[in-house]
Amino acid sequence: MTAIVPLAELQRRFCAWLREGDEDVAARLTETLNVGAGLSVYQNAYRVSLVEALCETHRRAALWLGEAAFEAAAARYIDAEPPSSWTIDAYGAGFPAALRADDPVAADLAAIDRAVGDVFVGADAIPVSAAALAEVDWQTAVIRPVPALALVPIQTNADALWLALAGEETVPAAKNGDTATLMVWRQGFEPVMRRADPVECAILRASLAGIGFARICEELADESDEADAVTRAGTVLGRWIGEGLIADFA
Amino acid sequence: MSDPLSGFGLGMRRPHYAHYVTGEAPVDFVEVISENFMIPGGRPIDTLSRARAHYPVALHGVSLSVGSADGPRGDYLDRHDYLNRHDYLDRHDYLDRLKALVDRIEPAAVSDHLCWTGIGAFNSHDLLPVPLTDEALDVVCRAIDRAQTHLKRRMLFENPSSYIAFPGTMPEWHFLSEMVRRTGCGLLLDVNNVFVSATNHGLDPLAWLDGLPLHAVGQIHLAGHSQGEHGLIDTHDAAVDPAVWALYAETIRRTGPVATMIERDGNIPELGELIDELALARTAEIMPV
Repeated sequence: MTAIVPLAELQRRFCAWLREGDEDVAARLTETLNVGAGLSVYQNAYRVSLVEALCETHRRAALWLGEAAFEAAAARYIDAEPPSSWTIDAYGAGFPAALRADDPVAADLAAIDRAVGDVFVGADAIPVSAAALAEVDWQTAVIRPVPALALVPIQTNADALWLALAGEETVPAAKNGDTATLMVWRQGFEPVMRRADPVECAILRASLAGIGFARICEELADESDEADAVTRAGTVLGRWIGEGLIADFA
Repeated sequence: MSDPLSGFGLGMRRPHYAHYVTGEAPVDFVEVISENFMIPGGRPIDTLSRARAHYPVALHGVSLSVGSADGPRGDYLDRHDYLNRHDYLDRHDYLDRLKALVDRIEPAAVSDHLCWTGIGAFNSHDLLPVPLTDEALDVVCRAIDRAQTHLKRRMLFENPSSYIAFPGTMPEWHFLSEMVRRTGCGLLLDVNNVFVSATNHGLDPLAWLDGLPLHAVGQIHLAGHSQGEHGLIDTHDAAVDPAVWALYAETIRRTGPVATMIERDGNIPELGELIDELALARTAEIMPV
């Protein structure tokens, strides 16, 4: 009779077999545990569910790559990065980076996919209106962006490609070297995105770091003249208010 | 807390959301996968809240992993200091997030599975089979105690579909009976899983059923299965098999009325087709055996 293996050891062996899918490991597991041919059901379910999860999260990247190339990339990623989070939605955080060497466009599309997905389920907030600005003490105020906001650096025109793939429009030619930072956030329940200019990126990053608006203006003034800096910062602020990007002021 | 689950329901799936948020779907309750709504905000939470305004909700989890030798997700923090901090916090988060969802939705039932999903830093996201040993029973009961204490409520645990058998283990019905006796949890009886497991192991589904702690059944699942290379597979992608309907009729003859629902996760048809199928459950008591 086969001895009962301690639970932790059995589970470690089972997981090693799931991850590696090695026939020698499977044979050893089967021999030790006398578990039979049904073992393959679990191996299959493990890999299929992860490929499906990666595809669900990175839909535009999957469209761009095509089914075979996407599944091959997913298989390589699953081998390299076994899942650890309790939620399968978190799986694939490194997938965009893993695609970059072979296909920078796919990598950027995947990064946008991921940001859109994160923002879609991000924390709710009611953006401030322009009327609220009258109450703000600008000497101390810190801009607090809405929580469902992501900054996505891209190296291609993946934003245009992503929108075209989403809307079944004619997909433009891919363009490498079209470096930008995207802002992805939510208006109501719908994710939206656009390119952020360098001043916006600087203000946003500084605000997220807790730096007050007055100091941000001072730093901008160091790069140009003061009146111009205040005008530029004010323009950004007005645009953000209109786009529902600001949750409140600290 | 809302009233106990009763009547006939469906798993609430994305293609049918519009019917549930308006309350027009003719069901007595809906069930959702807990993890899909253990999120900060956005449309999914709004959708569930709107459906909740019309229907009692059952929360059905897939990630608690009561059979993991190193404890359920929420227990992980206390006993594994070798992991990196990110994973450590991530796993500790599970029961807190589930509790927050329970507090928000006030579900009529909260359930998970008799299974494990991973160990250490690895989580397979699959419902893996627990070897039904005395050691595993201790592990499972500790985890259920921990979860029920954290949630401050009784949970239901589902009998899994089984594709393999471990040597030197007790029958599943005996394991489940002891689990129920020691923890006070309820049983989410998946009739299709009983049929699939019994068939795969060459046993009589009725004998399997009769061994279960039927007094503790708080909810029943029905689903379709398919024929795999090595046996039946619980795929949830087809209509409920006639043999499973017959087993269901036998079940409710033994239990009396129990909240019953159909799970459909693949090849999802129009809602009307599922409603028609659910009507069979309403008349199962008078089905010929």
